[in-house]
Amino acid sequence: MTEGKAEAQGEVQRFTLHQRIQHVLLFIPFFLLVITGFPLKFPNEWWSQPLVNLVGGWEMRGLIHRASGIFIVGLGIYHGLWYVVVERNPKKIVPRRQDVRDFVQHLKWLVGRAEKPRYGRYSWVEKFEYWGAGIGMVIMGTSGLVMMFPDWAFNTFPLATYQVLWIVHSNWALFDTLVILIWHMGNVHFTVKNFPMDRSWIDGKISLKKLREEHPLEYEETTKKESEADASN
Amino acid sequence: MEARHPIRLGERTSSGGRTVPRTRRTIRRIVAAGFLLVLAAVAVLLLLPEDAPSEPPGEPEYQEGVPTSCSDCHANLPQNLSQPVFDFNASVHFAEFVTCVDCHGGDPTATSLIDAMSPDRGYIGIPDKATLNAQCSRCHSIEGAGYRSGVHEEALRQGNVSSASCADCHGVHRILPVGDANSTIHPLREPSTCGTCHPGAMAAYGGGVHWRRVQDDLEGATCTDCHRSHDILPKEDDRSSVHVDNEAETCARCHSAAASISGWYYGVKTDRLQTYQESFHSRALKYGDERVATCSDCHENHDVRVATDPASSVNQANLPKTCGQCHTTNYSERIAQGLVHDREAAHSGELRWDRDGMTPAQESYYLGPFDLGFWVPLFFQILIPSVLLTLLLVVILGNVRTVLEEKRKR
Repeated sequence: MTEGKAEAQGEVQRFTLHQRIQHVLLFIPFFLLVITGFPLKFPNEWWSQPLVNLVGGWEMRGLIHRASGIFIVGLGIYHGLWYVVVERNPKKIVPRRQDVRDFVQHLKWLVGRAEKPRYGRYSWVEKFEYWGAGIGMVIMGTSGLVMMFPDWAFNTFPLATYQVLWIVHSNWALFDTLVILIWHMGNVHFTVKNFPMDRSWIDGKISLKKLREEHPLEYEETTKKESEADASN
Repeated sequence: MEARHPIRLGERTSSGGRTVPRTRRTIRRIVAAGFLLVLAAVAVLLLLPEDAPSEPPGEPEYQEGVPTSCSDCHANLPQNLSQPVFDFNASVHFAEFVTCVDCHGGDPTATSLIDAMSPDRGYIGIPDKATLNAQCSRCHSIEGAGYRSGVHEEALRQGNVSSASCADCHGVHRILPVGDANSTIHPLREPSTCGTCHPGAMAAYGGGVHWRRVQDDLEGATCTDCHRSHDILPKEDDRSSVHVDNEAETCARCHSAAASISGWYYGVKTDRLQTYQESFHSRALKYGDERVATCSDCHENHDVRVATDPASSVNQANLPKTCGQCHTTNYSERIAQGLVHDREAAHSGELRWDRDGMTPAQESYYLGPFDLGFWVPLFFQILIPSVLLTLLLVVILGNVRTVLEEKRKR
């Protein structure tokens, strides 16, 4: 393969501390929402009652679920504002036509019909998860907030609205949880290269070797900048 | 030989009025006496049974020193003392050879009034309620055991003498099986039997659909169908059939029994328990929140009426008030727009271009031609497995390719 250059050594910063804190503040309430929400969707399983007991009983289950929900919606709003107002650089994460081409090429690569696509900072794999979480927040947040005030909802919408919202909320919850289990675990934890996990969510760093393998375009950009910087020095 | 028996020889030779020897006369007398004795014995044996019918049957005449039975006297006493005999003779117990003594004690074989009803011979007169219950339980042990664990026995033990004993529900002397139309526990009479002490419940029940069904064909639920017959417990007791945890199953004994309450006959839907179990109320109840509504909280416990009845608690006009009992909110009529016992099967997904012939509940699902109660679940049923299978395949194949490429590099 193209291994002309010497083996890259060292690490580069991939995620800032601010991003890493947001990640932790996202997955803790997400986990709480899952373990407090699933017993309500599946009340007859062997694990339902133990889970409710684990979080401190039925009343506590509802409190934790609502608090986590409100928190995660707040985090989503904060994140959006930060990205748009402060970071002012949403381009890297916004899906482009190239992502569709990458996706098709990725599928071909899976069956050995093409080279692996050369990804930039964020591949379609990551964008899918990011925007999935975003859409999920809107759907779950809206339906959850309405269902949080049943008396107001019953007087404002027909009862059927509430019932449809319950179907949406509980089914999307199941969908979201399974996507995280399969996609997130499958892509950053249970892979032949990252198992048990990629450390970048803790210290924010990624090795140049891995950056070249997984995000070759960004790697080239980084090394180009560095060499330019070296040249200008 | 001749010399030894001169008499016999002489008899044979003589004939006519000659004197018979003494020995022979004695033998004749003995034979005649024996014959007469046998004749007399036969005559006595023949005549004795002829004598018995000559006495009037069931004659109540009490004679000192002659054995008799309770009813022999009581049947001829004034009505308050004779009616028990006639009642008892019509009861199921009379047919099953239960006797007065089994409940009242005493000794009917005694030859005097004093002895027959002497406490020394176990006579107790009218048994008190506790004693009576114990006496009935001697034969009806299963029912007795149920009764002893029930609220009526508990109240008796705590000194409430007006609490029901066996006799208060089943009657005293004229106890009849449940199938007998005159029985106090026959479906048509049971509500008034219980209503003797529980008039409020009986009055409410009398307006409900269950009582109407009983009057139609005896198949509606009566008191004991919900409250059980002997081990009746207050609704606060978690073993009670009407406790909040058990009530849905109690109603479901009939309302989920498609064979007996089938839609084609009564028009009653038999999926009410399952649809309730899908509700938030049922889920909360499962985790121990006992404030939630079960069947009777919305449908009433005694005055259960069909939803089309304007007086029904679940009539659409009354739902805001019914829901408001717990939710302490002044609900608008919107609360009635939707199906409380909703399930996906109730939605056909048929495209409807107008609202003709829709109930307000159905209409509330109407959003353009799409019935959301059908399409939204269907969307998820397709989305979840298809997307997840794709993702799983991409993840697995991705790992396989990575390993293969690593090998090729080496």
